[in-house]
Order: sequence, then C-alpha cells, then structure tokens
Amino acid sequence: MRLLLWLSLVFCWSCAERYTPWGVDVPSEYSSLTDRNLKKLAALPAATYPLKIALLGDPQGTPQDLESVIEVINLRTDIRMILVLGDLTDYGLMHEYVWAARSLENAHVPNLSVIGNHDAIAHGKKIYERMFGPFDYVFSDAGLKFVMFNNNQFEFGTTDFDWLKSQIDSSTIVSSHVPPAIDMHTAEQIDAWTSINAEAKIITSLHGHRGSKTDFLQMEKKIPYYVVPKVDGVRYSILTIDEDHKLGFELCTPECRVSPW
Amino acid sequence: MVKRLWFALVFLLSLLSQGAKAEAPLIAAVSSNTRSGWGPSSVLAQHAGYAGFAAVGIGYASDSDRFGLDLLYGFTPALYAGHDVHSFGIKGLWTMATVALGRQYQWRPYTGLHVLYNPHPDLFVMLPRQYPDSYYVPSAIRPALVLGFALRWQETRELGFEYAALDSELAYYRDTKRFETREIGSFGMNVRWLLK
Repeated sequence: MRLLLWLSLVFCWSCAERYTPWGVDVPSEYSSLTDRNLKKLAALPAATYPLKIALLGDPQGTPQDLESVIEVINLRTDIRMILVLGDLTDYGLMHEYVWAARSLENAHVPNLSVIGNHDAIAHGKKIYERMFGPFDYVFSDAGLKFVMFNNNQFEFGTTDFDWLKSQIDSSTIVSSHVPPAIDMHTAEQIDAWTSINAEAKIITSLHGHRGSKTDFLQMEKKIPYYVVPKVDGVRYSILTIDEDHKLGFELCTPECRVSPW
Repeated sequence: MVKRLWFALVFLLSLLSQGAKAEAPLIAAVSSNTRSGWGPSSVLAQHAGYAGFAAVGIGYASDSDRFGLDLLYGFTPALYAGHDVHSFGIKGLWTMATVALGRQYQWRPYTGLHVLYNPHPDLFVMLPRQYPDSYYVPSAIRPALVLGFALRWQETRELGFEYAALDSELAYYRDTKRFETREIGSFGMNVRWLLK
C-alpha cells in the first residue's frame, strides 16, 4: 500500500501542476515577443517589392488551426512577416496565450500582433503587456510605416484616436483589431476615425474581430479597410504591396484567391 | 520546480500527520452539529488541481456517501502566479465505486465538476454595463472537469489525487485531438478528514 501511495505521488508530481487559471506569470521564453520579433525583422535582408504580408485574425479557441496556418505559411518563401490582428485567446487566460505564442513563435518569419477584445478580458491586459509588449506601437519596414493600434474601446474605456492621428501618414499601414463598424464605436467616432485616415491618406487599414469564414474589403473615403477571416481550418490572407503602394488582397484556405475590390 | 514539489510534499504530509494527532479534538469540536443541519461531513486541504497553491475547505456527503460537495478557499501567492490569487470553489463529486483494499483501506475513484470563482475587481460575474447582452461569459468563473481517486483508510482519512481540466482546455483537446498534460489540465492532491 505504501508503494502504491508513493508511486501515485511521484506520478502526480512528475506531471503538470497548475494552481490557478488566473495567473499572469508569463514564461520567460514567451516574454517581450513584440520586441523580439521587431529585432528579427530588423535583421532580415532588405525587403523587395512586391512585398507580401500574411494576415491572421481571431485564432482563439482553435489552437490546432493556428498551428496548421503557421505550418502552411512556413512552406512559403515569399512572406516577409505575419500580422496578427487580435483575439489570440477566448478568455484572456495564461494557458491560451501560451498556446498562441507557441504556435506563432514557430513561424519562420517575424510576427507582430495587436491586442483583441477577448485578449483584454480577465487579466489579459497584464498578460499581453508581459508576453508581447505595448498595446500601441509603430515600426518601419520596406519604407512603410506600420502602426499597431489598440482600439478595443469596451475593454479599455476609450480609443486614443489622437495617438493614431499623430502617427499616420501616406506611407502608413494601420492594424487594429476592431474594424470601423458600429459595435464598440459610435457612428460619430467611426466618421472621425475614417476622416483621420483619409486626411493622412494611409495605404490601408487592417482588422480582425468579425470572426467570419470569409474576408471583407470595403472602401471608406477612398481608403481600403480589410477584415481578415477567423483562423478556422487553414484560413489566412495575403496582403501584396507594390512599390507604388498598389494593393492586392488574397484569401487563402489554404489555396489563395484574389479578393475582389 | 523541485523546490515547489518538495514544499507541496511537506505541506501535505505535515497536514496528514497533524490530522492524525489532532483528530480527536477536531471531531469533538464539530461533533455537536455534524451530519445534521448544516454541519460538514469532512474538512479538507488541497494542493493544485486549479484549487490554488494551497486550498482548505469543508465537504458534505450524501447519506449513501456516493455524492459529495466540497466548498474550498484557495490561495496562490504571487511567487507562483505573478500576483496573489484568492479563489473560491464549489466541487460536486460523484464516487463511481468503492473498492475494498484489505480491511482498512478503500479505493474510491471519482469524477465531478469544480466551479471556480475569483473575486478580483478586474473580473466579472455580471456583464459590465458597456457590453451588449451575452458579449462574454463571466470572467470570474471557470468550470473544470475533475477526475481522480481517493484512498480512504480507517474510515477517518482520505488521500486524493485528481486531474482537473478547464473548459478552455477541454476545447483545446477537442480541437487538437491531443491529450498532453504539458498543455492542459492540472494534477492536484488533497487530504480529507472525515468527521464521524
């Protein structure tokens, strides 16, 4: 009987023991991922046009699909980077963040993310900051300015459109989780937001959040707004940018087809 | 990690040994209201299994001793969670069988549902005002499926080992078809003193 007891104890202790679902202690291998990926991007050879960027959104709740999408993207040699448009998690819990980070870090190219509304519930904000970094940040590549913008208004109480306005210009691609539709934002905010983008003549604005099986592309005040599908099965998008900033969008499932304007 | 395991071992074994010594007065103290009214049928302590680094509570058992309900308070210090976590749990248990192991011991496999509640101000049970109906499920509550077994001896004490998997982890298993304890679930141990 004693032997059975001790064997049981050893069995349990040799396996995972987790104390609480609400921890915020990010494993060191998954901390400061934004900074690490920006360094990876800076270390790449100079970009050539046409530039191809993989776009992912809303992989929460389907960790296998995220793994599969990353494997498919890894088979390509024409992708410069991956932009992840939020909602890595369903409940903002540490273990969900770790599943997503593990898959994303398997990518052969740098990946940069924005926070989604689901990522910001529970203690998700704290985890996101520790695992990835700032909610709003800017980086440059291939002569383009990438503005990563937190616009999860319900979860943060406000959307800092003044910060957005101060960062954007005609060489800018903006990424944020929530698209300009009446959900978290009022009609007045959406009008002001699309006007800010139009005045700056940004190249495009990229989003997730809709969680649908297909992508959406719409023009607002002559600016293209693109919404990626949910990573469900093997679904992702490709943004192609020419030297003269001419854009192309493709939906890949995993075969790619051009999204009509 | 090894330090944590040793701490947990010492913690549980010390509880067990203390329990044996303190058994008589403990039972005497509660004997006036046990098994009648609202008196519990057991007291217990648990380590991990999502109940907390250290959790204590009381248990109730049905007359048949096949169904039980544990009420737990758990604490996980910042050292192990990044911040202090206080949580409360209600664990409904069904003992699937009772297998006698000699005259003094019983092996009792069980399953159940552990509903965890964290009263932290960043979490909610009722959806905050800014959200449309059904926008999120409560972030302060997480359900976990529990599977385990207890070794009961001398009808006075139990040592339990269990595995708990959260709803999100069961979704992970459904999606990936992979059962990996490195990725999902938590093993826990508990000791229980039965009150006559």
